[in-house]
Formats: sequence, structure tokens, C-alpha cells
Amino acid sequence: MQGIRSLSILGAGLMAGALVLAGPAQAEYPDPNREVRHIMPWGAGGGTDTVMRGFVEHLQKHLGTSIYTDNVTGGVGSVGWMTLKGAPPDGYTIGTVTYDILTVEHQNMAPVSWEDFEIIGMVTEHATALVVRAEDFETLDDFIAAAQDNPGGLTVSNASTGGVWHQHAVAMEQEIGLELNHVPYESAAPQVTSLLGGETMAAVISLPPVMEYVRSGEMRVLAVMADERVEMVADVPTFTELGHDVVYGSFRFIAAPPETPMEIVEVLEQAMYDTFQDPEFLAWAEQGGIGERWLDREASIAYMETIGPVIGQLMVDLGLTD
Amino acid sequence: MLAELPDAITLFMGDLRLIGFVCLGVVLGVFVGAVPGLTATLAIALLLPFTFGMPALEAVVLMTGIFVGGIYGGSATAIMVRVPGAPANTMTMLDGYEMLKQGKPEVALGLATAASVFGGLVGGILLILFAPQLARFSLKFQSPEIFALVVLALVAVAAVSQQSLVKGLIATVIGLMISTVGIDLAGVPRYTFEMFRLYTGVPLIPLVIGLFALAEVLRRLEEPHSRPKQVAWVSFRRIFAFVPVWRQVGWKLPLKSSLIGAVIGALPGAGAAMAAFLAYAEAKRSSPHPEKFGTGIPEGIVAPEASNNAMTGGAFIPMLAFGIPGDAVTAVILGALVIQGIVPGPQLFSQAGDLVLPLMVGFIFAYLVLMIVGLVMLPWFARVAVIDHAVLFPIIAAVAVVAAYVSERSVFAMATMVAIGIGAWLMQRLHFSLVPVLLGVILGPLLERNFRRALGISGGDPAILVSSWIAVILLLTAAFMAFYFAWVQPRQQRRHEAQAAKARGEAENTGGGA
Repeated sequence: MQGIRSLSILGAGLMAGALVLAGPAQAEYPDPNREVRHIMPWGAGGGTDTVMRGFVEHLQKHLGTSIYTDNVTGGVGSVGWMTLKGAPPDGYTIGTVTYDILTVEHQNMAPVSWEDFEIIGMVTEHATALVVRAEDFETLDDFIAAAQDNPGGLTVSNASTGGVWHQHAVAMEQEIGLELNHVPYESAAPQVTSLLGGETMAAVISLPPVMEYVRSGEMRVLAVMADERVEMVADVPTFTELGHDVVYGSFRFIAAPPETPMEIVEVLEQAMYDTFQDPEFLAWAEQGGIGERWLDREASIAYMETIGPVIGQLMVDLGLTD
Repeated sequence: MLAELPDAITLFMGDLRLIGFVCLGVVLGVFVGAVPGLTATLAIALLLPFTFGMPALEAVVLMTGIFVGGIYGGSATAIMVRVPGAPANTMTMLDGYEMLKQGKPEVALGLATAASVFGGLVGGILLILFAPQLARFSLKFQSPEIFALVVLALVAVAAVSQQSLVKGLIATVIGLMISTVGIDLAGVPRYTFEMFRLYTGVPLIPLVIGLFALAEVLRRLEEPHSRPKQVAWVSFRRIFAFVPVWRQVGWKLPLKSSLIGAVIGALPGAGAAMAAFLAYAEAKRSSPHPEKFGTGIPEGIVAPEASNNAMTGGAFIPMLAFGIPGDAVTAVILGALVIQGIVPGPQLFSQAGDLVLPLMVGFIFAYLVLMIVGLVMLPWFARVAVIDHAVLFPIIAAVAVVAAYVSERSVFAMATMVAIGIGAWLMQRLHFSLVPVLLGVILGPLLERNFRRALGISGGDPAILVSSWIAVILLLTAAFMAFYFAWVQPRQQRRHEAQAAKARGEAENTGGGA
């Protein structure tokens, strides 16, 4: 299937090329006869793939040409980002950039940085949260007291050592002045079962995977690492409210290869903006609880310029850099 | 929940679109399953965007059909060309291909089909009857318990080592070593040589293709060209040739294997390959003639196929109950559910009538469709056996290279496949069995991560590994099975052989004296 698709893309590309050669007039971007390739550095069916595949599905309507998702996985996302970095800057290749690019950059896994890309705009942002079994702790202060009684004994799960939630857990630990036992899992899902099964006492995680258990009363969110309260759990305080300066989250952007012309970037940005005005997309996002958040190109770059060095310093503190 | 079952059946059977989507899914699944490199996961991922606009139930039954067909499709390739379509079909290959060589491809394929359907139905029925209970039970499997389970599965190495247990163990260690490549649990890159493609480890699909497809092609190159033995052109009348053989095997083995598969499926992250390994090991342990495993006996096909298909039913349990996929395919299906606005969790079962029950009915229906599809396609699959090897193996070589590329869309994956293939061919020349290598690669990360995680939680105290009765029972079973395979069985076998030799000797002596 993929083979046939690539062939037809190749065919379309050749035809488009022939047209450009034949006529002097440069085709307007986007050419509705050319497909846009969306590079997805994470596996098919995972959380990021599902959300971003769904997003570009809505985006293509506003861009005026079809977009297909191409999973280019491996190397903690770096294979996909290296591919995006080397792709032709003609607007017919875009890609998803996630929080992990900061990890890749600061660990020197591959010669790629978010600054290499032309950021188009933000799609989602999730505040990180501290989640426990409801029967164990009532408030963040209970948790802190328990951790102080038993230094290094309280188990807190994350989704990989050095990964996003480990970073945020250590940031929280350092800010409050605790000593925790960080337990790495493969992804968010086993974090949830280990909490349910009692293997770990707490999870540093994003909200969607635990919402079901929060609603049923089995789990409790002690605090969120956001600058203001999160709508999904409006009764849960932020760390800042409780007097701890811990504000972290993870994000997903759409970006274009380096040196993509500004006219094209603007067209893409406008299409993303239009998608965020589309009630159909908003209803879909609401239903899936994807944590949608629109930031335009300028705001996205500012966001990255703020968070980038903070995470870099955090990883140095963690001893996770080379 | 059961009270709503008749409604669910009526709802399902009254909807032609639903039935159509299941059939479409199964046929598509068998196709992608049979082609190495194409997987059910890939097929479902490609279909994902099309399912966004579909009603939830239709989307899910379509994917279920692909899942079911995909697990089955790999067995046909395993039997006919000795290349497992997916890791889960590796055990089926051992006896299936031998049976083909004996000129009975239709029996091997028939047994695989029947065992798949049987296993799937058992898994499906367990899913309907015990899903919430099994889900609760699976929560007891935390790091120490999973570690113990993996130790038990590694005993399967002893079960597949035909000639030499030592060589089987060496091959397993090679597999375990390959599995250490990449970023480990502590975030440290190992054996990556600063190649970012290796950060996520040696890619599994190119590895399987190299290990079995390319190594087999290279092995064939060494043999003098011979036309295949005159295998009879399998006619449609022969599709039920497996029935007398199945009767001989009985119902106990498939039932036991299915139960193993369903339980493994219910444990998050264990997967179909582990289900097949364990069922094969148990079948060999309990068999009155264990030495015949690997020589083309029906039990060697029935046990792993029943088990890996029963796993599919089990795999739905953690997915629906906790939103935790039991394997890669359910992970993709989970993604689709979430996009449809269906949040898996305990509450999904309390309103089961809308989605869960019709889904389970669709799952069982998919296996009935598979029975028909499998039997109708059986003669076509079997005809692969009459293709001249001078034509067949170059085709396999070409497919192997393309499949490795497609699996990751990279030349790197292709190169990995070729390197692994050459290594595997050399190992085969030195009479190493290749299945333990795959066993090591699949089980290695599970073994290491759960071991290290358990010790991390206990602060380095190894007592945590035997802190629950489940872990203790699993470890004792593993010790017992290892002892049995490594010590008791070879001695029994030697005694049998000695007796047989003695009997023969006596017969000759008396013959000489007369």
C-alpha cells in the first residue's frame, strides 16, 4: 500500500516538475495536486501519532491540499527530526516536533535542535502532574511529609530515565527539597498500572492517561505544574499556588525544514490558525482530551526560547548531559 | 454484562456493514500477516485516518478483523517457506516446515488454521466471561512477577534445543546481547557507537527477516539444485485432511495452550511471541514423546498457534480495562478508540452494551470468518510447495530486502537485515538453532528492565524478586522445567535408546545363534 502510494507521489511529483519546467509561471503554494508529507518521529498508534495524525487530517482542509503522515521513527525521535532537517524546504514536507527534541539536543544524541527548524505553531501543551492513589495522600503537604519521613524511600514513576517526566520529577524534588526514589517505566501506560497495583506510590505524568481513575476516585492529582489551573481538573491547585515554583509541561509543534521561505511558512501558519477556529476540529480535540493549545509562530519561538535553556540547565543538574 | 449479550449479538448480526468490515479486516489481515515485513500494526496505522469519520464500532471491528487475520497469516509463511510472518509464528515454523517437507502442507496449514480458530474462540469466550476479573488479576503482575514470567519463558530455549542445550543457551545469550543495544533503563546509550539510529536498539522486523528469511536463502544456495519432490497439487477436496490428525492430538493440548495464551495476553506488554514460546515449551514438557518435537509433529503446530491466537482475546483485556495495550496492535487500536472519544477504563464495562459487548461478538465472529478464509485459501498457500526452488528463493530474497526497507523506510534497516542474515547463516552452519536468538532479543529487554526496576524499588534488596506468591510459583516452575529439560528428559531418552539398542543387539544375537 505504502509502495503504491509512494509511486503515485513520485508520479505526481514528476508531473508537477514537468509543469514547472513547461510553464514560466511559478505555481502558487500549495499546489492542490501535490501531497504534503508530514514526518512523524514517533510510532504509529502512539499518543503523539494519534493526536498529530488527527490534527493534520483537519489541517489539510484549511491548507487546500492533502497531507499524509509518514512515521520515521527511532533514536528517541532524532531519526525523524534529522529527516525533517534534510527535507526540501518547499512546504511539501512538514513535521511534528515534541518536547523530546530538547532531550535529544542536550544529550547530543544527534546534531539537531529546535532552532534548526522553521516553527509554524503549537498544537498541544500538557501540564505535568503529580498523581497518587486517593487512599494514600490527601494533599501535596501529606506527600511532602511522607517523603521527608522516609528519604529516598518514596517511589515515584516516570516514563524513562532522563525523559520528560523524570526531568520534571527531579525539578520538583530539588525545588521542594525532597529525596525520592525515581522508578523508570517504558511509557505512561505501565506507570498507571504500577500505581494501581501498588508498585509505586506516585506518578509524575500528564493528565490524559490518568483522568479515568481520577474521575472514578481511585487516583488523586495532588498538584499540576502549570502557571494556572487546568480546566480538566479545576479543583486541583498548581504547585505555584502551594508555594513551590515548579512549572513544567510537554508540547507538540508543527515545524518546516530549515530555510523554508517565509511566504510558505505564513501560508502554513494561517492554515493552522484556521484549523484552530474550526468547530469540527475543536469538537474532536475536546472529545479526545488532546490538550490543544494554539500559539502562533512568534509566540511559539518565544515559548521555546524560554523553556529551552531551563530544560538544558535541568539536564545538566540531572547529570544527563555529556 | 452477560444479560446484554443477546442484544449485542442481534445488534451485530443485524448490521451488514459491521459484518462486511469484519470480513474485509480479516482478509486484509491475512494478507499483511503472510508478507514478512508488513504487519497488522502497519495496516491498522495506515487505515487510522479513514476510521476517524466512521462510527466507533465499525472502526473497531475492522481493526479487530485485521488483528485476527494478521496473527494467522504469519503462520502460512512460516509453514510454507520457513519464514515466520511475525515473531509470534516462529514456533509454528519448527514443526510446520518439517511437515511440509514430508509432503503434507495441507495438513500443516489445516492444523494451523484450526488451532488458530480454536485458540481465538477460547480467548474470545474468556474475554466475554471474565474480562473484569482477569483485568484485576493482571494488576498483580508488577515488575518482580513479570521478571519471574520471563525467566519461565526463557526455559523454552531448552525446549527448542534439539541437539545441544549448550548451543541453545549460547544462541539465547547472543540474542540477549543484541537486545542490550540502545538506550537502557537508566538513559545510558549502550553499543550505539554514536549512531542515532541505534538509540532505539536493533530494529525487530529486519532482525526477524534476516534471521529466518535471508539465512534460509543463503543456506539453500549451498545445496545442489533439486526440483521439489513431487508434492501433489492440493485440491479443494483436501482442505479437511487435517481433521483425523487433529482428532489424534485431542482437545486437551489446544485447550491448555489457549489458556496459557489468554493469560499471557491479559498481562500488559508480554505479547504474542511469549505466548507461543510458553505454550510450545509446556507442550513439549507434557508430551509422551518430547524428542519428536521439531520433526514435524502436529502438537508442535497446534500448541503455539492456539496460544498466540488466544492471546489476541487476552490482549483486549488490559486495553479495555486500563487503556494499557497488551501488544503493539492493541496499542494502535487503543489510539483509534481514544480519537473516537472512547476512554478505556473500568467504566467502559459498566456501559458494556454499547461498545464492549458488540466488539467482543465481532471478535468471535472474526474467528468464524477466519475459519472460512483460512480453509478457502489453504490450497493456494499449499501450492507454494510446488514452485521450483530456483524460482522461489530468489523471490524470497527480493521480498526480504524490500520488506526490511519498508518496515522502517530506511536503508539502515536493509543493511541490518543483511548483516543479521549473514551472521545467522554462519550460526546455522555451526549447527546453532536460530529460534533461541529471537527468544533472547524479545525477552531480553523485559528481563533486564523488570529486574532492574524491581531492585531499584527495593533499594537493591533481591528479596523483592520472591516477595509475592505469584513470583515464587513462577520461579519454582521455571526451575522445575529447566531441571526436567536439561536433566530428566535427556536421561530418559538415553535410556530408551539404550534399551532399543540392546533389544536390537539381542535380536541380532539370537538371529546369529540360530
